[in-house]
Amino acid sequence: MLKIFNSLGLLSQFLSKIGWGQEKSGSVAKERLRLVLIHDQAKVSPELLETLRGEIIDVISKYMEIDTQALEMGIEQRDGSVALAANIPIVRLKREKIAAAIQNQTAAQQHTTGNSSQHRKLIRKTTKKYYSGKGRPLQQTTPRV
Amino acid sequence: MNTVGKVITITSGKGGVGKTTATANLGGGLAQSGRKVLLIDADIGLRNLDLVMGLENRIVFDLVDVVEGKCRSYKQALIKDKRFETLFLIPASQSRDKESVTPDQMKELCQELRQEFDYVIIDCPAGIEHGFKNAVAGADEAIIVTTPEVSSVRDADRIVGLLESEEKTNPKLIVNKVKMDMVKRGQMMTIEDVTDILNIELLGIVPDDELIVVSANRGEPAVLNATSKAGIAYRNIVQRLQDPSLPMFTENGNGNWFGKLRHFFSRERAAL
Repeated sequence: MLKIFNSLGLLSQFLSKIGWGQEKSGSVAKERLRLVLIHDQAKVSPELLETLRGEIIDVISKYMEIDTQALEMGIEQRDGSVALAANIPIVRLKREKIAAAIQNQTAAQQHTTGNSSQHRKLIRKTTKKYYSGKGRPLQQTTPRV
Repeated sequence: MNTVGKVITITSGKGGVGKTTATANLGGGLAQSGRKVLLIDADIGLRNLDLVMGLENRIVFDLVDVVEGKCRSYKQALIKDKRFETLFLIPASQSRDKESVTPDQMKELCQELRQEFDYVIIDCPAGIEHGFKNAVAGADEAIIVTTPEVSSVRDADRIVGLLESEEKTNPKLIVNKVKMDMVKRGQMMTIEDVTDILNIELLGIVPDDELIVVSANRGEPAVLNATSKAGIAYRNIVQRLQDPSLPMFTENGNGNWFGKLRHFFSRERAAL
């Protein structure tokens, strides 16, 4: 059995040497060029990375205190893709700001699903008109959204 | 013609992709369609445009002589190509180097030349240093020549960036030395691959053609040859340079060039 596995390994090595079952070189060239050009263009304009760095620091500093001196940012190549990678050491979170952000988020969600307090007021307003003194509805109403 | 002429520089970054050949053939093609054309070899120290055009024995003054005032005016440096009624050449110097001319001198010269010619085509040297800056300084437009190979495309991309910083926006592209059979087998990048990566306007494509070697050997540009694939391609590019709405020359699936040949003969008769 081992002998068969060994020869299969040799066979695949041989096949890749003669280019059988591999991606065609034209598309390999295009992909390599695409990646290398991202690198080249970023190197040629270091101002881009500087601007990005400044703006990213501004945004993140709204919600957390970060160590801007130790912040690392750059373009990295991994496994056939290019990524903007950043390592941002956090000193502490700004709890008040984070709480406010969470409130804004949930308020926005409630508004779209129709459960906001404003909406509830509207329902109370319209249904008030149509209830008799004994609490029974005179007419069916559907609240306007 | 009362309108002011256009100065076009043919550049690439990478050497050997076909700038000089393109300059000679675009100039010849434009002259064939009746324009008054001046070619300038800006590759000072390594002149080649004169050789490719077969005019190497007629050099009296060169570009450096013009700029230094050794001759009274540029008109004395002009070499008239007798095969084309309205084609002229100012050759480069073979003994000086690229620092013998400054970008400002080129700008001034181009300003003067615009008044006299419909097209001034400058053959830019390879590289991104002084020679490139000289060739680009006086230009209205740039044409980038590349081949479908990794090194040329990478260098062409750098040139696109440099042209933008020199405020020569909207360069056009010629993809040269295309081997359609290799493209079909997937072993050469396609034209779409190249235009995707460089993201500039495609002016035209020129197939790989043995006749280019022969035409340089003889000093007879390919546009003079009726059957050469490259000649037909260059004539198409000349048409598209003047009218970008015209269709591009491409090889059809069977590699049949004769349909295109007939088409271009009739177009030439119409142009005359």
